[in-house]
Amino acid sequence: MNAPEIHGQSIALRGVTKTWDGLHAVRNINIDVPPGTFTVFLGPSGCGKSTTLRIIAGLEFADQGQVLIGDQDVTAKPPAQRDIAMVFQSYALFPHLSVAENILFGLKVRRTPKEQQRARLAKTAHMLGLTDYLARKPAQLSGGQQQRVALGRAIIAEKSICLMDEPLSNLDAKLRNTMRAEIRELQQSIGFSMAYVTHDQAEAITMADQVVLMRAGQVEQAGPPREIYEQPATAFVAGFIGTPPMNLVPGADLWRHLTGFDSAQTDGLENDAARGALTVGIRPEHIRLTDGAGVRTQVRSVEYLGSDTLVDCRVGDSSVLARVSSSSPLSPGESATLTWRADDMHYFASDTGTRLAETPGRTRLLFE
Amino acid sequence: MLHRRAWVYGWLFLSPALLFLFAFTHYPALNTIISSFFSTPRGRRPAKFIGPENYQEMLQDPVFWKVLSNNFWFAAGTIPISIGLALLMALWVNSHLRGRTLARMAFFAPTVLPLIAVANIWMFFYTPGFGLIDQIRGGLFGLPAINLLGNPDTVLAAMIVVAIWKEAGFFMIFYLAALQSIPPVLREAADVEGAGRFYFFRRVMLPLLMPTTLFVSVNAVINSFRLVDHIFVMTDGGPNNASSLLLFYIYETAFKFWQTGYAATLTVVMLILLSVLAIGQFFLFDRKIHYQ
Ligand SMILES: Nc1ncnc2c1ncn2[C@@H]1O[C@H](COP(=O)(O)OP(=O)(O)O)[C@@H](O)[C@H]1O
Ligand SMILES: [Mg+2]
Repeated sequence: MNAPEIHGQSIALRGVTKTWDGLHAVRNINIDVPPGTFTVFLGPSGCGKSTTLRIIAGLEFADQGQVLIGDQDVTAKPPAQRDIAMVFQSYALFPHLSVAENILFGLKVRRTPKEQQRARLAKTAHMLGLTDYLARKPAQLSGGQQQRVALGRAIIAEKSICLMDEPLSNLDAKLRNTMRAEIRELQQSIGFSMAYVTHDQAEAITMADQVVLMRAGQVEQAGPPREIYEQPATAFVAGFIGTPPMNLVPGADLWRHLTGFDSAQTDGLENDAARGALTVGIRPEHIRLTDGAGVRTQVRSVEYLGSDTLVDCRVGDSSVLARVSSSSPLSPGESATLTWRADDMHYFASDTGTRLAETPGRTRLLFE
Repeated sequence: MLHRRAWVYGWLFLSPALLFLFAFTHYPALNTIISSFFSTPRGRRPAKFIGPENYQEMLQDPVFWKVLSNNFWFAAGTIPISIGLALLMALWVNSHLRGRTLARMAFFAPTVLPLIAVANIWMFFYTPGFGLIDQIRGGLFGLPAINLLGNPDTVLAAMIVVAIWKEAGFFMIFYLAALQSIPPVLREAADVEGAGRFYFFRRVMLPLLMPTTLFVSVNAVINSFRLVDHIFVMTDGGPNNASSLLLFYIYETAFKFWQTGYAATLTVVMLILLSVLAIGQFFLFDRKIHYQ
């Protein structure tokens, strides 16, 4: 007999709000996780990611709003009735139980027939490379192996939804990369829906079908990684995504340091910028050095990264990081002229931080 | 060179503790064993070697057997109940119920009181006619007065209750500490898998509490031989030795009847009993215990 096919179920949050002693941990969250997809909740520490995940799990309950799994309203249901599995940041392995017993814990609770337990354990252990460690206690395993046991406990139950709260944050960088790929592969091959919490944007961008970027208990932007990267909805998103993240410079600072343009092109620009009070965003990897027209800057420091060099440049009161080819030697104190494609520029309102869709016509002209 | 000096320092640091340990534990124990093979010195007659005579006398002493069986029942009554009660109280105090600070204080209070004071409180409870127990019996149910301490059939049970009351709060503190060291996330992981409270208790909490249970039970065993203060205050071993325990009998033999040789013999028996019990417990539990 074949193992039953797992079909991921959708998760939906509708206006979910949760307060702790009057302080909002999350406020009016609306999110849809389509069935069988991978959604990553991303944001700085304390922004409410874990709270959101725990509300989906049923470990916390929302003050307002609804949680839907599939087409069922599970807002008030306990975790066990939500068809979910969960991997905790600390793994939450039972220290006195062997690897096998840890993985089988849920099946034993639900009194799954012994033969089925054996078969599923063998399959899960094989999938995770734990076959030789089944008799060990968690304390006798490395961090990566413990992580796998936690994964095993989550996937053996063949639930339609898997929740993970920073599952990789206790691993070293190299292991993190391999586990990232493994988790993504498991999710794709088994087909459950995933809600995954992390504060590591690289993790989010590489794993997710959908990234939900949160800030101070609210959703700042939700969308596919490419959209988050290419069209950040706010200056906060822009400044959070990317290594290093997008440069955000007051328009006035840029305009004041234009060089190499003829005066007909630049006349009146400074005023336009000041009036509009806009912030210009430009990603470090989109900046080039030029001998022609561009923005004149002072090099403050140079960080050699091998193929690339990260140059920290000063423009007025702000600093701009540029990721340029290492073949162009620069040293601190020199001046450098930067340029980029007008298409790579982002505009945000300086006061609210929201994205401005309209590209101010004159700037486009300048940088084409 | 350095090695040798470290070794000397080690012994120097150890020596004060060792000195006391030898002077007040090992030497007396050894001396007791030796004395148990000698007669009791009387007047100008010094102690003389009599071989196993004291032990033979002991085997024929009905009071010894009575006291031993009393002690067995005292242990059998106090140990499981005080440990079970301690665990229950710890679970209650550890849960997020209202009034748990008060509960914790109330449970722990008997431990802080000296056993003599505890005994006096219970004397009042047990007093025939106007003690608390008889007040309730008479006032609420119209039952006649009873003399729990004067009746050989009830006196040991009455002593057991006092000991439990005294000990459970103490053991609770250890269980409470152990419970608080169990990460709450384990409970959540079990919740997600659908494990009920009882299943979680049996399969996760109880095993994780095993090291504490071992520690507490070794202490409980030792205490069941050691706690005799309340007998002095409440019954003096009576009536008819019905509430006398081994240590109490040793005290009587040594310092009331001045049969020090025989008292040494009884002491040796007690030492052997305690060592066997403690070692036995370690072996019994060791395989099942998970130490973190
Ligand atoms: N059990 C709790 N009691 C009180 N405040 C809490 C609790 N859990 C979380 N919070 C608060 O809610 C906010 C969001 O927390 P959390 O969801 O854990 O953030 P994140 O996982 O994004 O770091 C934080 O300000 C945190 O202090
Ligand atoms: Mg968190």
